[in-house]
Amino acid sequence: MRLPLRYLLYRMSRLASPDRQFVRSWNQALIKAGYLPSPRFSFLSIGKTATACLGVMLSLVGGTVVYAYNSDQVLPDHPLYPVRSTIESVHLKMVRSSEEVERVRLQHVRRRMREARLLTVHEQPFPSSYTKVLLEELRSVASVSSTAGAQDQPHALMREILKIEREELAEILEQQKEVQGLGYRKELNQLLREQVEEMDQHLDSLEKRTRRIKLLKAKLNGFEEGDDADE
Amino acid sequence: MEKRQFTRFYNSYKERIYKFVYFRVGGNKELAQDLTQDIFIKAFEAFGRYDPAISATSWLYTIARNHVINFHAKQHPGITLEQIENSLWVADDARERYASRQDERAVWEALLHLPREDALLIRMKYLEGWTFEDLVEPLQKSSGALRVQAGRALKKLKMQLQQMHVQT
Repeated sequence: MRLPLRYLLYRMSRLASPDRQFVRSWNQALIKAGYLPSPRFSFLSIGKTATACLGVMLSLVGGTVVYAYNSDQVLPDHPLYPVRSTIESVHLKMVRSSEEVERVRLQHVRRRMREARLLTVHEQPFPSSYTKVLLEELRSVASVSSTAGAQDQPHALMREILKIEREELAEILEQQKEVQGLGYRKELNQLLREQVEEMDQHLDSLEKRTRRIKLLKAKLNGFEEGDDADE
Repeated sequence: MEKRQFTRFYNSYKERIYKFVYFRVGGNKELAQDLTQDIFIKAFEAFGRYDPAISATSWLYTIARNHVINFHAKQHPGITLEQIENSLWVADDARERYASRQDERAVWEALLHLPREDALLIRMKYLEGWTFEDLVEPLQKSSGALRVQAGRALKKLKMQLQQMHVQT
């Protein structure tokens, strides 16, 4: 194959270049003889290199973090998944107002649901304890929205969203049962049982509190009637 | 001029001067290294007398040219730079050092058939690494004219190579 003329000329020019070893020893000889100044070791030169390295590292780390947080490829079985969990927990801690906290929690629930959907679409089993995380996050948001009044518009919207998510979660869990088999069914049943027990305990404590309030009210009414009678 | 200015000057021209000498000593690396060192030492010692009105390239080129001629004149009194270049191009062992491949040797052969001015321009521009602006004073032409001449010289060289390829 015939090479282009300019490239041949370039190669011939490279052949005539001085050896690096010669150039180095030549420079040193000229510095010793006093013809060239000795090279200065400056912190500025270190600073520039260090800044450049730092910039590259920050770009790599930043890029990885953004990828871990946003990418659909990062699912619970992915090595970068803990990065996403950490970012979410930090985000939650940074938020001040209770409305913001609810909004962020709902965002996390929707993200968990998206992950669950993607795992199911790819017919991948949930990693261990992922179902528990999913149910707990859903429950934490549900408890907040359920205590708010019916007139509360944002919470009403949240309840609607959660209702849809719960229905979809039920379908996803059914599909996971098929993917994972008997072991998973037992695990899921155990989790649901635990949740039901917790809810029962919660209801019991609510009932006790309600009874105590009724008693107090009755006593208060009794005192008031007694006062009226005295008068 | 200060040492710092000389350092910048030295860094810009060291490779070009080395190649200039290399192609005029038959590709002898050790000789080229020695002569290049001598040229820069001469340049540094004369730096105090350097007139910035003259182009630095032209000044350094003159020092290098005279030094190479003086070196060869000791062995062959009365020799000119043109004679040095032409004789070295013909020498077989020099051609071995200048070109490592068959096609590169063909380029050297083809350069011999070009007019002297065109061959000199191609060698200084493409092999030694001078810019058109650097070559204005040594070759006594404007940079625009040199660019046009270089384009035509390359075409002639290509045609010469094609003819040689046909003949072989």
